[in-house]
Amino acid sequence: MKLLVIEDEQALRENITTYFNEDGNICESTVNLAGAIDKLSSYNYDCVLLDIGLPDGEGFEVLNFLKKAMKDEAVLIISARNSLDDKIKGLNIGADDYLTKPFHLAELKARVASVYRRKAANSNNNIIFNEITVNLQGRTVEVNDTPIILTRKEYDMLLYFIANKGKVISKNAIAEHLWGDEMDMHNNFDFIYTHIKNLRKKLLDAKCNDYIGSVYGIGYKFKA
Amino acid sequence: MILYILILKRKRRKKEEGRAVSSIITLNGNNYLTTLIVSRADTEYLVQIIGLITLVLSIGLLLTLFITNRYILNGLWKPFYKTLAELKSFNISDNKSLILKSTKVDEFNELNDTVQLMSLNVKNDFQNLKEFTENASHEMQTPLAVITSKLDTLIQDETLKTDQYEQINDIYAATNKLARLNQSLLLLVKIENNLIADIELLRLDILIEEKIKQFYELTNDKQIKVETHLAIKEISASKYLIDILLNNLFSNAIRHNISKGKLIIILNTDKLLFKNDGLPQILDKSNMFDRFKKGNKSEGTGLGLAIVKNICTLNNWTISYFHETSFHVFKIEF
Repeated sequence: MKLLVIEDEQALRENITTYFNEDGNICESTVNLAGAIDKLSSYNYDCVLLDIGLPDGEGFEVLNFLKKAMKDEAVLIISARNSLDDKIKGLNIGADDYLTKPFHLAELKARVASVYRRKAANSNNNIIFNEITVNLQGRTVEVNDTPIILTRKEYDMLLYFIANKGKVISKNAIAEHLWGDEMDMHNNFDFIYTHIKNLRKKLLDAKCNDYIGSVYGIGYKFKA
Repeated sequence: MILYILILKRKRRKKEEGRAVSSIITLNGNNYLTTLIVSRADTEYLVQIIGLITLVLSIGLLLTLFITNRYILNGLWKPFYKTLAELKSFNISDNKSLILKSTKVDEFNELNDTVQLMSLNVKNDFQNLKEFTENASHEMQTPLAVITSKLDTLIQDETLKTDQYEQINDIYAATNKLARLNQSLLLLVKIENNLIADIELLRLDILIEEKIKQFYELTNDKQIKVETHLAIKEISASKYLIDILLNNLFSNAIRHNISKGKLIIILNTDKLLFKNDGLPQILDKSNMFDRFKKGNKSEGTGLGLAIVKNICTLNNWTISYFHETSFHVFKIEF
């Protein structure tokens, strides 16, 4: 996957680029609106990560540019403004998703993966990871062609893990992903532990390899 | 020698007041006792008449004063009372500004102008303060994002020891709390500024049913028994805010619930009740809806109930808390 990160905060930009590059993706970055337009007019990307508050203008300009140039890059807005108006405006002029800062890199990756899948024209609605097949349309999961029944949260978690395969994911990031706005989970991660235990058991019961490993003290890792 | 004497008038046989002077006069070698008497009856009569006239005049004057006060001055003071009423209804967080009509009286006009100017200044200051809160919160989001992403990158290094991971975990938790606080503050500012205006017609009973499904895993984990008595109820409000309201009420009711406890939700056309089991202690009613007021054991931001209260106020609903047998009850009256 080829990505373009448009973000003026250097530290954040570097982290995003590193996190995405490790996975065999090509991740380029630019710091302002002018640079973004420049890059987008010369190259094609699969996905654009767009900060709204740029030093030389509003990120919405990029969306307008893409629309005018009839380019079909998937766009994910990353904004410091958790504003309903911005969200609606962004989604109306062509953005595919809106993520409010601060976010976990794992969350960003899962969102990018989902946006990319939706956008990819030849998508067959299936994610295949070794023996695990996830049917996105029907929200069903099969292991070695044996269907397994997962709860909504377990299904979400599996997709999240697959999108972040090979990465250590903190319990905080998982809690944020699963419960997000719904609930302030504080430091109570028992819920997550139970869900992961159940998911792992269901996968193992279907003769799946044990991919979910615990990284003691911090979280989990889905072994690639 | 001057004497006051009473003389007897023979004709009328009536006592009258008078003044007399008597002295001995020697005339041609003979001594005469002479007495001069002046009657005071006329003066007394005069005094009575004057008194009566004064009294009648005073009463007349008072009456006129009363009437003028009542009917004429009342009209004259009308602009003042109008200004006073406007001032009483003045609310700093309202969006509408104080508008005072000009009058024919210069003094009142001056008063109105001063009051209007003052209210404008106060409002501007208040607005600036709120904008400052909003901007400060926004500016904090990016550094928070940097911290989170740095931590996310840091933990990829699997040579870290467990206790180092645990330290990182604490940083994560603190950052997470800070981010939530920030978002809650922003939300409060937005509600108070009435900036969320996506009002639509909502079926509250259906929304509650959806929320129960959404929180199923959490209630299930704690083995909380959820009981509902929902009547059909339509409200017109912002879906975004009602979602937050229900989220906060649900998380409260689940978080402070006991294992194998109960959560009873009752919805009528005029009220919504959230009853949940919990620790037997009775909570402090007086300030539980204030910002940053929370129970000893609560690890929340302390803004959850303040947000709930503000959403209720925005929709002209009242929220109250009471303790009923073993239940903690939150009641919203529409």
